[in-house]
Amino acid sequence: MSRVLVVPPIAHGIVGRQDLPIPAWLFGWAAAVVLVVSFVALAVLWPKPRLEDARDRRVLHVPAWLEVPAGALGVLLFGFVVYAGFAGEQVDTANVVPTFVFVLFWVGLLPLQVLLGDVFALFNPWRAVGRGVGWIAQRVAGDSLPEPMAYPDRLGHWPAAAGLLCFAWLELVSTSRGDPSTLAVLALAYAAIQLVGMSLYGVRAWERHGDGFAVYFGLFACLSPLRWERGTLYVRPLLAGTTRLVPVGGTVALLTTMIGITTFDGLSNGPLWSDLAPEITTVFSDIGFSQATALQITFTLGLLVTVGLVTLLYLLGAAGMRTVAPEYSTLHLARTFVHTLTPIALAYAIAHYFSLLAFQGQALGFLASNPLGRALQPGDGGWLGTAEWGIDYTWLSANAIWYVQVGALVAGHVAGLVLAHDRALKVFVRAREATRSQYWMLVVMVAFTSLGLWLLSAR
Amino acid sequence: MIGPPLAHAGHWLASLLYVVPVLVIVGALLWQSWRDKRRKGAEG
Repeated sequence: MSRVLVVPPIAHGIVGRQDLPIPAWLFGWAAAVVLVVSFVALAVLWPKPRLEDARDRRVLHVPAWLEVPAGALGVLLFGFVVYAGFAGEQVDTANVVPTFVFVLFWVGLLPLQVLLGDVFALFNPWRAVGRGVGWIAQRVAGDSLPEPMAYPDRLGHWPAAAGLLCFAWLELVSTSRGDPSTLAVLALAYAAIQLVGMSLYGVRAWERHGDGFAVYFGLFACLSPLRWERGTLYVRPLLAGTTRLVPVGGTVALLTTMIGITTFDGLSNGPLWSDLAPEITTVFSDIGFSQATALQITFTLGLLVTVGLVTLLYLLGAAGMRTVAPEYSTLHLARTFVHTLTPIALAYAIAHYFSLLAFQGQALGFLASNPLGRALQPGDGGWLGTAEWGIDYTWLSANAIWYVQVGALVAGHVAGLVLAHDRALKVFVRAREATRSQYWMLVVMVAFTSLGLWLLSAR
Repeated sequence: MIGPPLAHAGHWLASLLYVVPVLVIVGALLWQSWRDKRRKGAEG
């Protein structure tokens, strides 16, 4: 296999020309039909909440001490990535850091989280350091060690939402996103913030609310049929984990940010943004900003507006529920049903990043042998002998990618409908009211599906 | 500047087709809501 072409890891949506049997928009109509049929089927065949009251079943006990080597491995990997960022070649395609951060970490972990449960928590380096430091401090100071402060209610999930938005800004807006040393500095800064948060509020409280990545990956792990808790593995029905999400301040913003990030990622690769962005950039250039700064301001605005519009769309669905339940506020209903956005966020992530993982993920094959991107002699395979591997862009056709994207979007939104219906049965008691309350959520789900397919087809 | 928008008209029209399912469902809901209100008015 030869290295024919290496695409920067931040170049999302590596998709060729599709040759579909029907126009792409017809897939959107078909997806809407599937959602409406699913909605009717739920109303008829799902009269009682099943996921809300589902019980976990204990299947396996794992020695708790295994968390120590897993955490140590996470710390070692984190340390190596930071080292590679500083010591390696400052070229995004040659250095392992951009591919590690934007492909393996940000995208590659998602399927693992959904299939195996919260794997990230086991290897989370700053959690491991926080727990290690806490353990040592407990041994040294004993009872004189002060208890961490209570996590403030008003903070809620806002720090996590802000952290994810900053990462999205780096990924989608910043012109330094492919610079390995910048990524290394930011990784250290992020770790430092997490350690401060953990020292103030305790590892568990901060991990559940403040650590953007832990919360992000943890939410996807809630969809998994597997749950790890204190050395014990539990099995539960698919999706049931999300029903245990306790909404706090910022939870709605967190989920809509997760969807908004991928929405803007798709939008910024399409013709609408290609038409709009130069016009907006010109406005800022005329004010006196440099071309690069004007472009970053434009993309920042685009990201924020997209997240805002996604939030507004969801709040409209929640407001629609008030036609059946006027005694609840829109915000209360939005929080009550916010867990239904989790499978949608996953569907958007799979649909938008699948091709990136399928193609750019292969780059890890040669980067693992030459992570610092050093110039090698011909025939030198590097550490693992794979340095001369390349990326095979032919193993998956554009049509296959499209079908995976459509399948993910439809499945994710049907899962969202299932969760919303199940929660409605719990909230409204009478099945007829529960179904009626979800009419506007159906509109939201169809709108999100159509939006997702439009973004993908317009690339 | 008439040229560029017209040149993109076909693309915009194709994009609008994605909104149709949403409009159909919203229309159906509004119509149902109007019918319910009318029935309640007739009963009251």
